[in-house]
Amino acid sequence: MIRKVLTPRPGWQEKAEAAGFIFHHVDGEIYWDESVCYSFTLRQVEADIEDATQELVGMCLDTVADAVESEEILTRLAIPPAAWDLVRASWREGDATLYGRFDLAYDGQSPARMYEFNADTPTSLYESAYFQWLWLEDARGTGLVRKDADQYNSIQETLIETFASYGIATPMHFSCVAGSAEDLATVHYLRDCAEQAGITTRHIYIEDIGVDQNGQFIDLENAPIRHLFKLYPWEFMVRDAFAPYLATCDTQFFEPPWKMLLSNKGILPLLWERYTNHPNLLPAWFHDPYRRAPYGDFVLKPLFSREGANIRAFRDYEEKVSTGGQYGAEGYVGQLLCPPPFIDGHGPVIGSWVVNNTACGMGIREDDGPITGNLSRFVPHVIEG
Amino acid sequence: MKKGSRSLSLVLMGSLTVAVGGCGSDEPTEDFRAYQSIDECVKEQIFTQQECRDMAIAAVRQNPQFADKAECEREFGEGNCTQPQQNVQGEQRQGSWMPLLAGYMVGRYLGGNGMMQGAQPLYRQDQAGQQGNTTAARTSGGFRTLGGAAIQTDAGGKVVNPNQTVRQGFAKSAKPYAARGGLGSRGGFSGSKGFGSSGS
Repeated sequence: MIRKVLTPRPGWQEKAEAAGFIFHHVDGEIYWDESVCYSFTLRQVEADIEDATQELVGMCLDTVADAVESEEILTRLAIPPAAWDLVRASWREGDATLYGRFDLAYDGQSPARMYEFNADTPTSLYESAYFQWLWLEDARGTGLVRKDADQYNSIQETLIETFASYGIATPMHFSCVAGSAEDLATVHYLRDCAEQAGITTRHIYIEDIGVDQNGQFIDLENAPIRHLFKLYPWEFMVRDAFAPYLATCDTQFFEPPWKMLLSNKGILPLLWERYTNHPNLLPAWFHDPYRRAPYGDFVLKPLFSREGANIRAFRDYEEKVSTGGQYGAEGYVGQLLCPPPFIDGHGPVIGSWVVNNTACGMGIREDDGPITGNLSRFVPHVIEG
Repeated sequence: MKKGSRSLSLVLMGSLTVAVGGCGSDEPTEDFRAYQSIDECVKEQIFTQQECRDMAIAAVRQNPQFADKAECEREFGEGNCTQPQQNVQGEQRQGSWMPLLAGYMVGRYLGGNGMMQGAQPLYRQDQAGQQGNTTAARTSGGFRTLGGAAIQTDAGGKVVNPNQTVRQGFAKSAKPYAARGGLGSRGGFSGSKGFGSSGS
């Protein structure tokens, strides 16, 4: 894969804001970075990313099927016993899933390797599904890229088709916590897709969700919440004050409760145990602080954490890098250290999107440090050749 | 485009504004508050913006109408009545006289069927208005209900004497109250990207 340096479109920030992309800069630092573009061949995309991702989806689902039936595994994954029935019922009833994002290390040649699966609250959806497509259309039109350049991205179309397939006839609520511009924009974007699928949508902040005298979730007008998309992690939901109502309410949740097993980093050692030496996996284990890690170069990740928080990286068993944060209480997973391939001095990570369990697009983030976190930049890509 | 999309568009995105976040309400204990305006109610953050507004409307709807000024002032005191030109919520009769609202009271209380929430209009406590005695002293700072019950509040606007008569005054507007704020207590963690993002 080739890294190209390009000229950003004049007025790109105004275009971004007009399209609702209100977080193109974060804390004064650039986030959407169109001075860079990665170029792939069709073979690379189809064989190395799309097919590999589809295979990983199958492996994950098979692993979940076994995990839900095992109290030992549920305990290892730090899922509270009070939530076990919720998770099991959700899986056995085949609750529908909307989306998720695999993070993959890929250098254009070797098999892509899975860092993790963001299965519950993946970020960068809007820029992956929509904004980088707008960029592509402009870039083709102005000759910034080849006129026939393609992009591995049918995410929005697949989202709309998937929403339409649910047969939802009553209003659907879309929810995030208050105070995050990015979360609000993501939820607004998903509402947009749902509306385009013919669903009537409503917004509600997570904190404003109420419970009525029958233990049903209601919105600010005291109307029932029958279908809820929530940009808020399950591991928080099951520990919040309204947790007791989750198993008995009539609300259909997106993502569904069974996704808790996959958004948990504990899935990584489970996959490695089941599919040891699979080319698309990295070795992983449940961290035991009293035992030496099986590799000298490794990373410790909390069972629950997001955006690179509380990660510790070791070389030759010596801690080299650690990020701060508030996670780690439930334990850690170890994984072989696999730095993103450095291409022209930058380490791109592939965010491979899955909608309705179907691989359908990717977004690329570039970081200049070893841990892809909050401050990585999102960069567009093309398929040329 | 083999791996890409046909044309994409958005229907809602252009209307995105970063709205003020909801703040959730307290645990469902009984509470009675007097407010002179919707703003005051919103600022106190016990009730949501929506609730503050809805309760105000419910209170205004209970404001009585009189055929003439004298009748209104007999009940509410000299100079305390007005003849609005426009319809309030479209429910005013032509030429009606109505007492001036001093504010509204929101009550959250345990009713027969569980927690209820309702509102009542409040008027200035004016002893001259009772029985038409125009020379009696006026009490300053207190409110009265539609039915004439005196309402006392502490410095924070909390009503200190919600007796049975006062509670009954909520009956016209009372709706079941729902507990809120039981999800989302853990928002605001992680990273500097868009404060409090829950994404990964």
